[in-house]
Amino acid sequence: METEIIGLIIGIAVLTFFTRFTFAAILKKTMISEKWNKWMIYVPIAVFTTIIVPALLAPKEELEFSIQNEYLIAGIVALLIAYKTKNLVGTVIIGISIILLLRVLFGF
Amino acid sequence: MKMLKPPREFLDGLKAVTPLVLGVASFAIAYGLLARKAGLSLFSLTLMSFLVFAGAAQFLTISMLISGTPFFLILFTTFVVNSRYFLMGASLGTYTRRWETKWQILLSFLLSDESYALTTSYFTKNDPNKYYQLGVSLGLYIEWIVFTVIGGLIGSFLGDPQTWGLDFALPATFIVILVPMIKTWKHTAVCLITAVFSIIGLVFLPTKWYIPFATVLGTMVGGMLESWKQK
Repeated sequence: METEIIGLIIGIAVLTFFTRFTFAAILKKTMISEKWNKWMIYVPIAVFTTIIVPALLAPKEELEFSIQNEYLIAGIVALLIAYKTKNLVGTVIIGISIILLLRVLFGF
Repeated sequence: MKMLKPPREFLDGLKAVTPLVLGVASFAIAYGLLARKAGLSLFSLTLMSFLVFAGAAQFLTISMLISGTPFFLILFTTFVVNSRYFLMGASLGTYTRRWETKWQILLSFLLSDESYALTTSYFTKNDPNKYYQLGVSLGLYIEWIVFTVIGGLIGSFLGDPQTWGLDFALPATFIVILVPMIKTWKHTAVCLITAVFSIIGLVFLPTKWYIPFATVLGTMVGGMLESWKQK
């Protein structure tokens, strides 16, 4: 497994370097238009939404749209805290506390 | 023997990083800790910070490894999320195109969201200086690696992630990354539409194919909203 993971990491590293270096290498006088810059913000928005939503709504691979789902409840609270504070440590700690509390108190 | 003195711009670059130290450190510690809990060895998770040096892609990789995503989909997703570097590289390229290739390679390898923000704001006000960019980039790089290792070591001492509720730390981290990006109603719309696509993909597509499905469609909707408004 370790070898495969290292292979994966090297693959990601090569692709990442490719994205960072391509335009530094080929750029002569071309400027990238403002339009592309505006487009680009949608890439991370779409990627992170795609990862977050199933993690909250289907934590065990099955769709679980109910108040019995502790990930959904903690996720909504985390969203509100992140919106108000933008603070990583606070959001993660409060989110985790809610998960643990729901599991201990209500046996989720 | 004369001591080799670093250029003043290099030190200015290092200094410019200081307001970001806490934020970067907390992400690096979280990454190291969660990567360790996901089963990566201290060596692998540190290697990733050394070679990849991209927080979002590294967190995504951990999350997808935990959920058993095929490697080619991990490569696809990290490539897609890193495609923003094409544009950052292009925008910096207008300043850096006369620099030597070895400098371009080094500074491209070290490019990150934070170094891009600091460097462009400096370049628009001062003479574009490679030592300044190097100071910023190297400061962030070394910090990222050091705190990755610290996070990995903490992770080695914690027990089962499920009993600690740590399985929620990744979604919570992604929420903190996503929320500040959403600034206009169009961003909100794309977020909601992508959420719907991801659920549809989750229910109807083979395992994990909802990731490229929802990512590509969501981005296209964003692009359509942008071009529609311009007419």
